[in-house]
Amino acid sequence: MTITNEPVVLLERADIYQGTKPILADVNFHIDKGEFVFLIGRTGSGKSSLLKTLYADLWLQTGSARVAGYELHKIKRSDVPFLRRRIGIVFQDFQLLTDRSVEENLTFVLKATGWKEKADIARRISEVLMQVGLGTSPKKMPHQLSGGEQQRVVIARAMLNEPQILIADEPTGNLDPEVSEQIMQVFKTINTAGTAILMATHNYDLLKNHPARILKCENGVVHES
Amino acid sequence: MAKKKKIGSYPNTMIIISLTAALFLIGFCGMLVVQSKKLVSIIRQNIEVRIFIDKETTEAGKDSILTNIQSRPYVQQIGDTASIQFVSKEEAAIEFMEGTKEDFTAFLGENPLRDSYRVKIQEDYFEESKLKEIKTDIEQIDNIYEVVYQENLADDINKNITKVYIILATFALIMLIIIILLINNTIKLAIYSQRFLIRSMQLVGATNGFIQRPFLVRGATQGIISAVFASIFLVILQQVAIRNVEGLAQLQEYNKLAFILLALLILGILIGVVSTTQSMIRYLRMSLDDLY
Repeated sequence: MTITNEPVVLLERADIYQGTKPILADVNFHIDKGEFVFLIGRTGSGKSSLLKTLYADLWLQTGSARVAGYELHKIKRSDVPFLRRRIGIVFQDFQLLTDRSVEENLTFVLKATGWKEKADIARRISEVLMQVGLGTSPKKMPHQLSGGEQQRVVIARAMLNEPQILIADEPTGNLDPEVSEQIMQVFKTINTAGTAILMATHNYDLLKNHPARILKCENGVVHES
Repeated sequence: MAKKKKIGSYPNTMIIISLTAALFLIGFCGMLVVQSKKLVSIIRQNIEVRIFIDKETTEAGKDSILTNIQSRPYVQQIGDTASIQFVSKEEAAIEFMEGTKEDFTAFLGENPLRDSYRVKIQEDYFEESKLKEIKTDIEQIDNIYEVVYQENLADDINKNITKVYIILATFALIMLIIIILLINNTIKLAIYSQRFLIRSMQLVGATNGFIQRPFLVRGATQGIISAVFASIFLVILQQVAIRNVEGLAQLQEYNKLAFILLALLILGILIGVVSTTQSMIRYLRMSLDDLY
């Protein structure tokens, strides 16, 4: 892959729709490589719709957007899986599969994205688990892990294919302040290693303790805050 | 520990039972068609024209009639010999008396029957119009009193067989439509019950082809299993029928049965794979949000 300085995410005059309902109008922003950006806004302000548009779960109908090298306004359906391999998704409703261990959860993802060699799979799993500070728990089932540990596995899963950007929607939503802080540290570490992060959150403590660029969804538009 | 949910796995039993039933019925229709064809062929091969000879005809005259008929193209040939049987009036009388259990010569005082030739006609001439032509043709030969065949039998059989074919084909078609709808529905439910697995796969960037593969393998496997079951039941049914219905053994053509069973196997796999693909394509095109 060629290294360029073009932004990982670039939206120009994009309108975000949920079905036929307009949610956000004339969205313009970019996220550079290795940048950390918070996305804030009230419930229903369009944060999740914006994030879903970025990984082509919602179709971009007007305006243009480029994410991890893919033009979302003209992306083909068959290219969507390859776009998603370049994005790590940490989402509220994208939980671990409860019927298999941490290792099997991660293996499932790697196999689904074309990994075949057992040795490569094992190596990559231990790398990402180390990255999120969970090196000793690969055989545990999700229910044997605390909420914070589960969230670490979810982050590890998002990191498997070395994405250019991690998109996280309320990653600390159900966690207490102390664990939230630990999870935030995991994101920081990943960010420091070069992966851009776009994190939607309601947690104002995080914003206060970890100053970064903030985008705000408000009254149908997105603006810098 | 709860059993691990595997992508592409769903309860087999209902699909296999219904697919087996459908394939069995389709196979049964196929067997009926083959056996009725064979039956018609046997009837056709046995169609006879009776040629009654004038009473005063000499032996030389009878021989001349025989030579004359033997050269006709419509006479069935078994090997090199034409299938023509001479029945004297005495033999005819015995045959008649066996049938009626009455000795008509006793009260008539004489045998009113005539000598005759029974001529078997080639299968291709099994049509009313052609049989009529044969009758006219033979009647022109000298010393022929009358030419008789069972009128309208040919057309009646032809018409009825066509009707049976149409009914069976319609039946098989309806069964096919029902089973495709049924499988579609079952697979749709199965896919729905695995929407979390599928959603996970889509979110991490699995291609649709990769997600579909286990479902297709399963669809094909179900087709194979159902076809094997349907074949076993068909063979059992056939064997039971042969043992219980007299004369049915004559109608069996084992190479055609093998062909039907092979066709069922291919049909089973096709139904399984095609209906799974169709459901999968429709489902995977939906937005992830619509899955809930």
